Amino acid sequence: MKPNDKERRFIRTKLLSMLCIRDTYEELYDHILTAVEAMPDEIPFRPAFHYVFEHELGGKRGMRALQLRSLKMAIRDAFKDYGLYFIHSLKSVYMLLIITTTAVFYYLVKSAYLTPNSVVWCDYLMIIPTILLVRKRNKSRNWKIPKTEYAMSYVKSYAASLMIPFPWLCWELISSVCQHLQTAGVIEWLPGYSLKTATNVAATNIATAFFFVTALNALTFYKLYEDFSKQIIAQA
Amino acid sequence: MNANPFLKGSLQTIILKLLEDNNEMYGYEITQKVKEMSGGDVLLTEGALYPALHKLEADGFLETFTQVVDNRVRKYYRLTEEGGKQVSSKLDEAQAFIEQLQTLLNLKPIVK
Repeated sequence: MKPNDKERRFIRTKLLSMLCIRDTYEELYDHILTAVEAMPDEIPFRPAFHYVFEHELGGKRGMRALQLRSLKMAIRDAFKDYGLYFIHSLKSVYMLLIITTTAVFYYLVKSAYLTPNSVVWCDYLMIIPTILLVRKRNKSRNWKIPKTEYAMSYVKSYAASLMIPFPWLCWELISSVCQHLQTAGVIEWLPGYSLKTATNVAATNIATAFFFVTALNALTFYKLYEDFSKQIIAQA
Repeated sequence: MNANPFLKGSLQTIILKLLEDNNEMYGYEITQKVKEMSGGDVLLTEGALYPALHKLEADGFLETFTQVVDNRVRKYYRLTEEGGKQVSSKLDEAQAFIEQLQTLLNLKPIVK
């Protein structure tokens, strides 16, 4: 039987009430529609859909489980891609620039030319190009699914974008823990506190190391998205 | 898929072999092909099929491409070069397993 527009809309609405990942949605929508189309014309739409939905897809629970597995796999993939590009970045010529900038940064922090606020701003500034790249790519491919229809865009880019604020979050966490321990009088020289004056050797080293890692992270994301965009354009 | 644990363990091999024979297939097509080849004895459910397909894709054995068919996106799967190499090794494993079972359980091969 061939579902009409109203019946197709029914399937879409039903799926969208349960799924939020575009890949899973599109794959299952095609599967259900093909399965229903393959059924004899004598079978009405609702029983046909019900049969496919309950027996082949495992109902609501089965579909959600399928979506969760897809999401986990996509996140795992995103981390794997990130790892590969991170190693690739270490071999890049841009590393010379990062090392030089880190050395300058170290000198500025050590000489107390940089205040703690400017250290944080430097880190923010390095994250900005990555965010701009992600935005540009999303706009160019129209992956963003309208909110009325879907809740989430392309799952892999979503998972990858989760990693953007990681360095900042790590820094915030370390800093907060250190400040807390310092206030409690546990240890004297902890970096979270000492960075405020930028005079402590440990604080300077940690701030420099963090600057280096953030710069490397920005380079990794740049390369990851640059290549990813090229692949997508080539496929299109 | 039916509840036979032997079949569950062989799902990836079945998919790889089907794609080797048919070049490119989409999810529903795979379920129908398995049903047809087994005379309706083996029924693949999406809950078993898609995770296996996605796993094979994540492992680099399959690649995908999409086509718009009748106003909807259809995702096709096909073997990668690595996947092509994997087929023969998986079939060898399956063959060895069947032979071991025949030996251990004293089964006679079915002659049709």
